[in-house]
Amino acid sequence: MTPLSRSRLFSILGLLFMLLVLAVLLALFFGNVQINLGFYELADQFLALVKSEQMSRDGMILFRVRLPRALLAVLVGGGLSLAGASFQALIRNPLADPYILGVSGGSAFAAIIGMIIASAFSFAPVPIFAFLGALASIFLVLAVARTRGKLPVITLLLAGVVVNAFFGALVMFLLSIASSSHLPSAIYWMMGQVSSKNYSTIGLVALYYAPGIAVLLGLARDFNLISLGEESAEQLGVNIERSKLLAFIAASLLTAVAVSVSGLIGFVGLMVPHIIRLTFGPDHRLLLPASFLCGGIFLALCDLLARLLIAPAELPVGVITAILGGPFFIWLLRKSRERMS
Amino acid sequence: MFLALLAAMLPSCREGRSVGKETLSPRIVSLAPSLTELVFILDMGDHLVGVTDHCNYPPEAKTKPRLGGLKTISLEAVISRNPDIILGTEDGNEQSLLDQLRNLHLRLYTFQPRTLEEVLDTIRSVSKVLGKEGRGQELVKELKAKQALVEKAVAGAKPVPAILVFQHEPLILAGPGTFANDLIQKAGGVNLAADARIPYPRYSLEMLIEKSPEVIIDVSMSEMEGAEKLASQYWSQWPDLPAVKNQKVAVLDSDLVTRPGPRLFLSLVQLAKILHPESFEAKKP
Repeated sequence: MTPLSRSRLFSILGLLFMLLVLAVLLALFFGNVQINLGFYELADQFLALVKSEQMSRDGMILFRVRLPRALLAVLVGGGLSLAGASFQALIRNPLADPYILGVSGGSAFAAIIGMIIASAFSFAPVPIFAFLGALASIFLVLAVARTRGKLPVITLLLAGVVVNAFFGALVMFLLSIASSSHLPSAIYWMMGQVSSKNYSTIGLVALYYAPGIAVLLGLARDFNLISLGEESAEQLGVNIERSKLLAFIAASLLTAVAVSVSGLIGFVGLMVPHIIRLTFGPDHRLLLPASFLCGGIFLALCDLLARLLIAPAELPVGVITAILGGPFFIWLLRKSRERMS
Repeated sequence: MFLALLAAMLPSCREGRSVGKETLSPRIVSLAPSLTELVFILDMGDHLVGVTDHCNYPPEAKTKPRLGGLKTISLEAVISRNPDIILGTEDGNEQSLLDQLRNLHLRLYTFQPRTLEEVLDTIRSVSKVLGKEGRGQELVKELKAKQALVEKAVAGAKPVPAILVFQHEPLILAGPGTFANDLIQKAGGVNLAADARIPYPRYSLEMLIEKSPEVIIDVSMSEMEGAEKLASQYWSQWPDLPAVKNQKVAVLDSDLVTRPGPRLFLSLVQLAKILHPESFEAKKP
């Protein structure tokens, strides 16, 4: 592993952050409706948004339709990518992501329960339900996979598959018996989409994210040791089970919040960390924050495509990520097989 | 096209199990809510021995034995009801189920009305199958009169730009090729989502704002309590939309605009009153 200098870390992250801003600007200024606003009108409309005053039609489209949606895409893409990078490190398998481990399935199930119980207009409790579902599923996975006090990779993956299938069945059961006014929205929600939520919802997502992101970035050094192998990590004095547990909880939180606000968007957590690893190397001090930034860029651009491709209708963004992600997964699988043979 | 379909079907029915020329008390199974409504309105509700889980109108329909959802009807359940006449829909029901029923030589009649006119054809055909031609003619006349009333009321009036909303999150509107689209046009409106190429598009929110609908018909919460309040809460996010500003957001039951049954004509009248209240006030002071 090449040593990571402070200047390299900050210059790469700075560059990625600039690209993220660029992606949001692209999402802001491209759309089905032509926007003709000068700089001053733009600033004026933005001020109107901040003071919640009357806005022009163009201002509304920019700052109440496109901007919140782009920001949500950034948060969801970033959260899923960071969670994916963490899960890959934790179970030392490049094919892992929140979906394979059953965390998304558990979140999705609990979030649907939350949506049915809470009214359609109160979002706040839904991520809490989803988080409880994510925790329940990850602890179920850990309990099933734990063998003689350790978590072997194979049993962990198998347990994840089983738990995911189980919660998937519960989701389908719930969808089959739920009243029809909830049913279609749940189906679309299962396809994965980002929409123009209000800013308080986006703030709430950021708030729920904060502890998860802080914990995972704080554990970056431990992740590096874990990826060397569990035995050597323990020899180096890392309390590996405790770090793993914390990381699982934090990554579950990110997954749960992302799922509850956008449904099941696949492959982001798989693709983005891989591209980062191939480009910038495997050091988690860079990999984790870079995954978050690139996940945000990636999903913001995918959502832009989702809005434009069949206008005036829209595609669920999960369709775009899956179309890109499927071939990527196959390529990755072939590559890892070649390396083994 | 519909008649050709029916004609193609009839021979296979004739070959079917003989149940006598006209059974006086036929056991009828309905595989769609719209057909259930029709059977009841033709006064044959007592003979229904099986309906779908979605058949909720008239209220008596809920007391009938259930055979499953529109797409998940159990073949076994249908057979166990020992039906003389089965009424189904080509688009609504699973093709495999219909094929199986035909292979068993059960008397299956299927219908697929796609416009208001074809709904009237369906009513005529079903009433013939049930031996209720007189009642069928009467009903068709009644519904045609409703349609004529609306046509007269909105004739010459400027078409009102409108949308019909099936769902908020994501935003799903009635696109081309739906009954809702047909209803909006016939009731003197212009469906702003008719430019989408799919019947139930997830519509771009910014395009909706750009197109400024003057009337919004919201059927997204038909089964919920306090639907009116929830709808106005949702639409108050966009106070500058003309429909919201002028309080022209109407809440309807989605069954009324999606089921190709007799109640579509009631919705037509209702929509015309929403789109052109002035035309109706003038007539009935």
